Parts: sequence; structure tokens; C-alpha cells
Amino acid sequence: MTVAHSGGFAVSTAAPFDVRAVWIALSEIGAPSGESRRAAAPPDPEESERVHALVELARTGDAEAFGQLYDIYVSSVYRFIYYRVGSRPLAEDLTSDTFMRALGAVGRFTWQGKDFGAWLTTIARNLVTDHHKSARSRLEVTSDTVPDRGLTTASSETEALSGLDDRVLYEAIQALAPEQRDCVVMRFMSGMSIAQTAAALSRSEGAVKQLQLRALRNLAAHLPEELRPGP
Amino acid sequence: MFARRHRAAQAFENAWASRRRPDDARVRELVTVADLLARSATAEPDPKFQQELRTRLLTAAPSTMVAGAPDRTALIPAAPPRRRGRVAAVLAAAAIAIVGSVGASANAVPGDILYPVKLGTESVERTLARSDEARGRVVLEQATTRLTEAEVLSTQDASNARTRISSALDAFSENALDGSALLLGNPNGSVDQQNAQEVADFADDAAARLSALLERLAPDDRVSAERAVQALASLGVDLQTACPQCARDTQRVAQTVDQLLADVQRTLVEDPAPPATEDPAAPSGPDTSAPSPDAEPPEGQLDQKAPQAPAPTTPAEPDKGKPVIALPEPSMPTSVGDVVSPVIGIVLGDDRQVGLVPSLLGVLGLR
Repeated sequence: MTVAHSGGFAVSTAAPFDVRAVWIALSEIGAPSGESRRAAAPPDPEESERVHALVELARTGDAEAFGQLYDIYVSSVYRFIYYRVGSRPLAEDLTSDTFMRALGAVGRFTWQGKDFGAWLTTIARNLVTDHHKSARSRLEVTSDTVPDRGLTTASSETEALSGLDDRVLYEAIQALAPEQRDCVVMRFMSGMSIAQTAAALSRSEGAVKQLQLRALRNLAAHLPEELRPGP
Repeated sequence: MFARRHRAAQAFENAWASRRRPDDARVRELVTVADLLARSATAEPDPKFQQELRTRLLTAAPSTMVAGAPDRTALIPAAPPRRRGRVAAVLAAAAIAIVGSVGASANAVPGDILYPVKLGTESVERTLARSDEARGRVVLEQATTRLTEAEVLSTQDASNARTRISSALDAFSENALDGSALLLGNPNGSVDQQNAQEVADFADDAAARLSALLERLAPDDRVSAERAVQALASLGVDLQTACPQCARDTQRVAQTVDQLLADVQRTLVEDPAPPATEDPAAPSGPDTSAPSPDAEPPEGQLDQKAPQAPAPTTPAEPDKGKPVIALPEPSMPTSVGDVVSPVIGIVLGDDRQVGLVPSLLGVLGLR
């Protein structure tokens, strides 16, 4: 049976029930205005339904659907990597690697309780871990890896006044245990939910709450005196 | 130790998720640190890089993307287990509420909130009857229920009880005719003598109860009562036509009903519009009881009703072996049994109703 759907897109491959048509219809609900999202978690049910539809389309090989998923998650993934490696060029490389890997693997993606954003972050985290393990990272401790606020940083005046410099931020995070480091970046810098962080770290939600608590306590102790919050 | 850490972790998460300023100073400090991190982490990918990577991805897609099988089951995202549990709990609560309200509606009278539930249950019982005869019995039982409702209402002081009595009596008339027609079947065919006997017993019982009720009715309601008695009279004629061989029963019913009809019509003529008194036991006792001695029942057929007329204030008492159905108490249930037994009655049946389960078994031909 040939099914023609709303987008004027006709599926010629014989299929008794075209699931793709449904996903295309769903993915067109509330398309973004072009602005990239800050958070990794699609908060409202409509948005999460749209992500679901896009993922299903991407699973069937729809490149444009994958492109839209990229638009949704690129900021979150990039931010996670950037605050974990502390270098813009490196963060860009690893972000590219993350999405390239995801592009090749999205056909095998299964939900099984895992959020798509968490899945991407897991790929990114593995790449970051590999990078830190590799000989290259040990040799390349140069001024390049010390983060600085680039021109692309969306910093308003108030943020510039009240926020921490990326260098201070990176160094404070580096002082944490590896798992606490990942947890704190995912939760508070990448904007992931407890559930997404738990999925990305393969830990329980309770464990993530404990991790973030310990991480914040350590951070509070390691922050420069002048930046430490008052009682 | 573990519990304390767990509490602290949860306290922070609650404070962070709610965005409210926590009371605990230690939690407040952690929220401030987390907030500082979130506000400071403003790094965004370079727009040029972002666009280039997108283009690269879409270019690489045809050669890189490996299509998986479309996941049809994913069309409807699975509800999380906790939610499924909640749905089950809501359904269970709804089922309990429905069964409870059906049970609690057993004693409802016209005008009560649960009365439509009672009528709905009765409608189901009628539908579930497997034959015309069975349905006829159900409908006659429901006529008796209407009469019981009128009796309950006649003891109530509620200002609108009067009009509600009329509606109960009118429904009684309708059910009495329908039920007896179903039980007696085709007037030209042969009639089961037992069915005719049942109709006769029903008419006899109803006439006795109507006679007692008549004493306590306001003039407005007596018109409905007259219609009810006329329904019984018509039923008696049907009985005579349908079952000439059950002469004794038909004669008895005819005489009882004729007598009653005379009583009703006399009260309507003699007492056209006395002011409706608030006390339902009081209205015009001497007036309405007057006809009884005037019209002596021939052959003593009305021996059950004649002594009843002067003492109309105790209609609930079954007198002299008459199968007068006890009046349900118009009060709130006082024990668990009061609430549970109507439910059991509805489901399994009791002396007043067939019950849903036996009805269903009947429909399925298992009974």
C-alpha cells in the first residue's frame, strides 16, 4: 500500500502500515524556531513526543530528522565536553566525533528506558574518557587546554559579574573525583535531569543525588575564598 | 549514617528542583554553589562550527546511517511502571465507587442523588432477564419497589416529598401493567397458572399496601394513587381474560381493587383539597378511614385491609401474614453490614432482587 502523508511525501516502498508517516507527523509538532536549546532534557511532553518521533525517523535512516536532533542536543553535548576537557578546539573535535558516532549508531538505538540526550552524553563521556586516557592528552598539556571565555560565550553583563571564569570553573571541576566531575557537569552545566544523568552514568537516581551532593560539598570547599557563598 | 546521607541528598535535590530558598544553611550553601555553576556555564558552540558540523553530518548520513527496523511498539511510549500502578489504583477505586454507589442506591427514593443509579441498575436487571416471563417478574418486583419508595416518602417531612410520591406511584402503575402483561403473555394463548397466581398475589399485596398508603397521602398524590389503583383494576381484568380457570384469584383481586378504587374516588370527592399538613401521619384520618366501614367487603375478601384502614400510621408492619415488604429505613447506614448487604444483594441477589450474578448466569443459560 502506498501512503501519502501530509508533507506531500509519498512512500513507494510497499508496507502495510507506514510507521514513518506517523513519526513525520509527530515530528512536525512544535518545530523549533531555530534557537538551540540549552537544556538536554526536553521538559514538556509535547517536546518529548517530538524528540521521540524524530528519533524513530532517524532510526529508519532519515538524515533530516537526525539533523533536527542535532540542533536540539548540540549545545548540551558541547557544553559537557567543553567543561570536561577545557579546550574549545578539542571540545569541537569531540563534539564532531560524538555526533558522527551517533549518526552511525542511531539505527541500533533502543529506548529501553534511556533518553536520547543521555545516550548522546554517554557517547561523549566515553570519548572524553578515551581522550584523557590516550597518550595524546598526556602530551598535549599546553596553554591550549586552559579554557578561556571565547567570543561565542553568551555572557550578559550580569553573568560576567556574578559568574565564574571558565578557567576557575574548569580547575574547580578538575579537582573532583572523575565520577563526581561527570555528574556535576551533566547536572548543573549541561542541564540534564537526574534521570538523564543516571542513565548516562549507568547509576541509580539515588546514587546520582548522592554524587551531586558530595561533588557540591567538595566544590564549595575548593572554590576561591572570594567566590565562596556566604552562610 | 546512610539514612542521614540519603536525607541530605534528597533535601538538596528538593531545594534545587523547587528553586525555593531552603531553610537549612548547609543546603542553602550547596544550592548557591550549584546555582553559581549553572550561571557560569554559558559556553555555546561556535555558530560557524555548529553549522559546519551539521552540514558534514547530513553529507555523511547516506553512507553512515544504518537504518534499523522501525519500532512499532515505540509508537505509544510506554507509561512508566509507577504511573501504570497509579492507573490501576484509580481504576480499582472507580470500580469500588461504582459497586459502592450501586449498593448504596438500593434504598434511594425519587429525588435522591443515587436514585438514577438505582434506576440504571434496574434497567440492567430488566435487560439481563432471559425470557419475557423472567422480565415480567423483574418488572413486577420493580413495581413493588416503587410502592416501597412511595411509602418511605410518605413518612418523610421533606417539602418536596409529595411530588416525589406521585412520580413513584406513576412509575408503579406503569411497571405493574408492563410486568403483568409480560407474565401473562399472549391473552389468546394458554397462560401458565403459576404466572397468573403470581400476578394475582402481586395485585393483592399492592392493593393492601396502597390502601394503607392512601390514608397518608395528600390530595394531590391521591390522583396518582387513583391511577395506581386503576392500573391494578385493569390488571385484574387482564387476569380474568388471560386465566379464566383461576377464578378464585381473579375474583379476589377484582373485589379488592374495586373496593380500593371506590375508597380512593370517595376521598377525592369528599376531600377535594384539604391543606396539606406537614405531618404525614396526621392528614385527615377520619375522612379517609370513613369509607371503610361504609363499604363492607363482600365475602370477607378484604379482611386484610378493612382493619388496616383505621390504623394507617403503622404501615410498615406486616399484618396478619400479608407479605408486606418491610420498609427500608430512610436513615444513614449505621453499621458495615448496612452498607455491605445491599452490595451483596445487588451482586448475588436477595429477597428483593434477582442480583446481577444470577441474572448474568440466566442470560448465559447457566442457571
